[in-house]
Order: sequence, then C-alpha cells, then structure tokens
Amino acid sequence: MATVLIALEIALACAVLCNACFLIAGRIDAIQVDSGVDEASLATVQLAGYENAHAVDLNARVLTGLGSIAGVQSVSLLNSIPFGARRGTAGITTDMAGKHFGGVVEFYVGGPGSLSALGTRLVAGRNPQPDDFRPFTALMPDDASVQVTRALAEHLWPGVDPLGKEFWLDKSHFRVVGVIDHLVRPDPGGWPGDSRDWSVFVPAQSSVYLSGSYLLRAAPTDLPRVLRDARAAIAKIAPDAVLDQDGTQTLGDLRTRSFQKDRAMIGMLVGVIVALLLVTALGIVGLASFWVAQRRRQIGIRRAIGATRRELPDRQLRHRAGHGAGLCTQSVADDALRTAAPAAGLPADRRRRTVAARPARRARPRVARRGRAAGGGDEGIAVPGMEGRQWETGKTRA
Amino acid sequence: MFGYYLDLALRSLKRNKVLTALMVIAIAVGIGASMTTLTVMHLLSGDPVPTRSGTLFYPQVDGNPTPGDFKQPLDVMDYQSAVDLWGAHRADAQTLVVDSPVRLSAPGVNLPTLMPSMLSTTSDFFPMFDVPFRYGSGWSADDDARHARVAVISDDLNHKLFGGRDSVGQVLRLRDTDVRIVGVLRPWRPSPVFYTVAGGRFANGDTADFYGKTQDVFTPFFTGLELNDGNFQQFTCWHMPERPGHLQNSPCAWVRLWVQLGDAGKVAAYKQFLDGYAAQQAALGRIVRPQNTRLRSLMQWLDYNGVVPGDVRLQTWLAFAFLAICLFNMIGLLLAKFLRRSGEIGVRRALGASRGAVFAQCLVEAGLVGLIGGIGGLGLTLLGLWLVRRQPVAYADLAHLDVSMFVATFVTAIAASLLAGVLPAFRASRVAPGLQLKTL
Repeated sequence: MATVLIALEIALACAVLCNACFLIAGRIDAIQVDSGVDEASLATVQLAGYENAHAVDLNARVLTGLGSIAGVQSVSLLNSIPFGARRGTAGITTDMAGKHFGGVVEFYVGGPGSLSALGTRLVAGRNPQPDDFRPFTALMPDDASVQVTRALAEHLWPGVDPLGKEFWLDKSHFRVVGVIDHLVRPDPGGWPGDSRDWSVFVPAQSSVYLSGSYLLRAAPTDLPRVLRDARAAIAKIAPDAVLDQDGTQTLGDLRTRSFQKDRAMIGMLVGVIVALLLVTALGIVGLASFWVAQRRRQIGIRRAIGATRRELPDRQLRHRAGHGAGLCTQSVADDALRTAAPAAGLPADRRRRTVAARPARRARPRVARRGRAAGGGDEGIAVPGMEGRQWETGKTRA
Repeated sequence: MFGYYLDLALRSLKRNKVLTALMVIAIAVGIGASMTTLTVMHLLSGDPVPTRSGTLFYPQVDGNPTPGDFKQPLDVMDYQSAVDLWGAHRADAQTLVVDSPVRLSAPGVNLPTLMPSMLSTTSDFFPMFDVPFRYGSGWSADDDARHARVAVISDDLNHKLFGGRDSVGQVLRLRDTDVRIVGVLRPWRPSPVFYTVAGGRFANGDTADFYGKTQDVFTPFFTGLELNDGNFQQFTCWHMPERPGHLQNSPCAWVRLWVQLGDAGKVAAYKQFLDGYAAQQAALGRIVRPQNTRLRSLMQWLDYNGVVPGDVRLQTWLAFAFLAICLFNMIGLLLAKFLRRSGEIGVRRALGASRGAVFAQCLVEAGLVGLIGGIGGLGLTLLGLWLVRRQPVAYADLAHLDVSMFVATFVTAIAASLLAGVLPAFRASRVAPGLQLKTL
C-alpha cells in the first residue's frame, strides 16, 4: 500500500520535474535569442505628440541635434527597434495577386546609415546603396530593394538563392538584394522558433511615416552618458514633441525588460523544483522510518542471529533502492538500528558478530542489559512493549 | 466526543514532533503555492463588471471584404458597420469604443506635456459599465451629437494634474483642442480592461497587458475622432489605408461596439437584427460573409480571447500538481503515524470503541494537521502574493488576498488534509484488536 503511494508520489514528482525542466529550457532558449545587432553600442530615442506636418522638419532637427552630442557615432531613423517599438508587422505575399501568403514579418524601415549602425552581418548580396533610400508618402515605401534575414529567405524560398526574388505587401513591391545573418523582431517572445527572426530591412528617406524613432550609436562605455545627454537635448531640439520616457532606452535595457517575465518564470520554476525535491525527500524519510519501525522485530532477530550493523542498512538499501531514495533510507535504517537494537536487548557493540552460535546461553544476561537500557530512559521511542516481546521470542527459541 | 478527539490528536501530535512538523510543512508549502496561484487566477478570471456582465454583449460582423473561408469575424469592426449598428439604437444601451494616444497639457498646471491614452466613446459608456464618479458625471447623448468639447478624466490623472481636488469645469488641452472636464472618476480598475480586449487568441498566452490601467481621458466618440485625427491605430487592415491614422472609411477594422440587452428575448432579437444588417450589407456588396456574425456575452468574449495569461495558467497547474505531491506525502506520513499506534488503537477497540469512532479520531487528527498547515499556508500565500506583486506584469498591483480567498485557504487546507487522512484512518480502523492485544 505504502509502496504504491510512494511510487505514485515519485512518479508525479518526476512528471512535474520533467515538465518544469522542459519549460525552463524553452525560456532560456527564448532569452538567449541572437538579435544580430550590436546591442551594447545602441540606444533609441522615441518621440510622440508632434504634428504630422512637422515630421520631416522634426527629423532633420533631431538628426543634427543628437549628432552633435559628444561621443555619438551615428544617429539614424529606424521605425521599429529590436526589443522596442514595433511599427512594421505585416503579412506578405510572394505573388502580386496576393494569393500565396508568405507569413507575417517585421518591416524595419530605416533611413541612411541605420542598417550599418545596427551592425547586422551581410551573408549574401549587398548592403543598401545611397540611391536605395527613396522618399515615400504612404505607410510603407511602395517599391524598394530590401535585405531579408536568412531565416525569412529560407522560409519563403527554401533551398533557392533568394537574391532577386520578389514579394508584396498589399500593392507594395519589394525585391531582395541582400541577405543578413540575423535581425530579430521587436517582440521575439510572441513568435515560435525561426519566425522570431523574420525581418526585412527597407531603406527609405525621412517622411511622415518614418519619424520620431531614432537609433543612436556610441561606444558601449559612452552609451549611458550619451543617452542622458540626448534626453536632455530633446527638450531644446524638439519642444513640440513629447519624449517617450519609457521607450527611450539602451537596447541592452530594452532586451532585459522584454525578457523580465521569462526570467521571473525561470526563478519560479527553479523554486518549484527545489521545493518539490525537498517535499518528496521528506516524504520518503517519513515513510522509510515507518517501514523500519514496522520491521523492528525482524531487524532485532536478524541482529540476534548474527547480522552486523553494517549488513543491515545494506540490505535495507537494496530493498528500497527501487524507490530511488537510497540515501535517505540508509540514514533512517541506520538510525533506527541504533535505537532498536539496544531496545531489543541486543548488544549495541559492533564487535559481537557471532551471537548466533550461542543464542540460548546468551539469553539471560541480555535481560539485565535490556533492563538497564530501558531504564536509561532514552530508548522509549515508538513501539511500546517491544522489549518484552523480543525477550519472549528469545526465550521461546531457547 | 469531538473535544476528546481533539485532545487526543493534540497529544498524539506532540508525541512525535518531527513527523508532525514534516506533515505541517508539507501541507503548508502545498497550500501556500496553490493558493498564491489560485488567488492570481481568481483575480484575473473574475468578472470585471459583476453588476452588469450578464447583460453586456459584444456584437461582431465580418467587415473584411477579402473572399475566403474565414471561420470567425474580425475581432473589431470597421467604422461603417460599428457606427451603423450604434446609430440604429436597437439595444437598451450601446456604446462605441476606440482608444488612441493623445498629447495632453493643462493650462495653468506646471507639468511637462503628457501622452496618455484617450478613450473616445459615447454617453452610454458610463451607466452601461457602472463606472463610478467622484465629481461631476458623464456627458449626455446630446453632447455626443453636438461633438461637444468635454471630457471625463481618471482619478490618477486628476491627482497628477490637480492634486485630487474637484476639477470639474477645468480646461484640458488635448492636442490643439481645449476640452472642459465634466466628470472625474473614482479609482476604477476593471480587470481586465474588458471593453478594449481583442486579439487575445493571437497573443500566444501573452495577455498580461489586458490587465493594465484604464485610459486617463474619456471624450465623446466623434469629438475624439476630430481632435486626434491622424493618430488612430488600426486593429488590422485588408488594404493599406490611404491616410494612416485617419481611419474613417479606410479598409481597416478599428472600432468596437458594446451593447446592453436586458433579457434573453432582447438578445435573440438583437442577433436577428445583426444578421439582418449583415445580409443587407452583403446585398450591397460591402460584406462577403454575412453568416459571420457573433453576439458574445462579456464573459464569453473574455473566454474567447483567453484573457488569463498563459503563464498564470501554467503556474496554477504546477501549483496543484505540487499540492497533489504534498498530499501523497501526507498520506504516507499519516499512515506511518496511525499504524505505529496500532497497539493503542487495539486497546481502544477492545474497550468498546467502534471502527467509526477510531476512524473519526484519526480524521480529527488529520484535520488538525490541516488547520495548522493552513495557518502556515496562509503565511506562505501572503509571501507568494508579495512575490507576485514584485513581478514585472501589468496585473502585479492587483495581487492581494481577499476575504473569499482567505477563507478558501483554510477550507482547502482542511479539506486536503481530511482527504489525505481518509485512507490512513480507514487502515487504522481496520486494525484487528485481538492481534494487537496479544502482542502488548
């Protein structure tokens, strides 16, 4: 009965443990996503609340204004920011008629210098040329030469050279001229597997729909100071806009923030695992002590007929090893033995190995010994009447 | 008899302190973990408008003209369908809802310009959703029709701008338009912010953001559309909008409609009206899937969106598996404890106690362990909720123990330990007295 219980308990514990480990592995995998950009040297400034009519003018003021801060290596326009603002999530098709759905991808629309500032690695084709950056008036440029990530290229055209391939977003047309290694979506947490990396870089000029979102690049050591200066400078450069305090961060901070929940969850899962092991171990300790208590008489007899203390825990161990709780059992059995043996009127002395040879003659002195031991007071644990019973057994045998 | 058993149980628990402590810890940890997650679950899956939720419904028609076999209509409606249905006034009350970020300043208040979220809605919003007012009131249907420059602000914003005093009559500048404050809300924290919930089924369980704060400014629907024109976000578009941010008559879905329907008859009638509208629009060629209409109740809509975050569900499952393990543990320990006392039980049985009496005695002992474990579990639950409040999630500030969950903690603890005690108590009551007496 108890065996079934403990087997069930361990089975359940293992099930929870395996699931928890699996979940932890999944979260760690998510946290370690390769963004493909130089997070350590990048920060973003986000503005809102300005009028569309002033957007292009605002861009010009901010680009020059922030560019003049000491230590800034480059300032550029970029609508979506890895781990930050998400402004270009849309479904694409691989034909003009819109029949073959290609998936939902992230469009990083960026001004001159933004892709090189990101620090993505080109694996095929070319980076954007100056005349790739064209002005546009709608939500997206309607015709552009773009760079796609390797993951997206493999998804859209498996096993085929993606260079020169085309795809459409509604009526807007895009032609692949370069393949980049990685460029993560702004919100990788919500996407499964490789689709976390389905991004497109669209070169474009400053416009109403490419404004208010800037990418700053500086040496990693300068970055916090540069961002502080930039926050302060915005009030003078763009009094007509509202600085988005929450969105204006270094990419490192944005990354930390976007995985905060996963980190908290990992902490919780680890806590569950530890508590689980602890509770299960305690349960086994309790049950094992019960088994041993049940077997006291048997253990007493075995000791009486010559088993050594060393042998008994070994046997208990083998007996219970199937439950995967060897250590606990051994310590408990050991413990029980130390208390049970004297209580049973048996010699607590390790040197007595051959009691079995003279059980009858040994019987009487043992009574005295038992009396002393029981009188000692500290042997009164557990089963009442144990001593008497043991003695009776001995006498019957004798 | 119960008092006597309690006394016996106390003595028995005192006799073997280690085993007792093991059991109490097991039950306390199990209860602490499961009640923490259950409290969070209870808060997040609760009814956001307990007084009204039975009468609130979310109508949907499929405004997407792209042919295809879509099983469900879009989560929100296009402008024309929403305004048509609202304008028909077929329900007891109906309100349009759309939110957008707006630039806000208050003349005479020395604060930097803010970018709060503005909810543009119609006058029925406040009575329909039982929104509590501290000062003033909502606006009238007439204000809706006149596109009146009025606003209601949240308690939060009132504290930020006016230090919490009665600000009715004050002027706010929203973008470039001055609006007069007509009402200030009391602290109002529906969880989730149900009236803007949509798209939950695409969120992969990451729905914690549905539980954020409400918008800070409420303006009449058409007033909001005028003053913040160009800053509206679509839920989705089937073609590129011509002027992004200006979505009236754009190929986009972005407006939500809520209706209040008092009884089942009205619900059926409204569904019929909705189907009729879709069929009529299909005849005009604007809608291609007239059969795709829905009229979900508030709670059905929340269920459909799976608003309770996946992480919370996962934690609840884990916690209950954990409680189950703790219970198995306790069964084993109780078994050990009771059967060790076989001799004692034998004597009681020999002296005339029935099996039932022994069974009851054992259960009282198990229940007592549960009660002590429950107290420990309560402490651990409070600790757990404190940890939840420190998590970086939108619902963190909601995680508090309420009276029902306080009671539930003890009920669960005692019920769990009684459940765990049944088997050991049964075994103990089956002890054969003769055999035990012989070995005494």
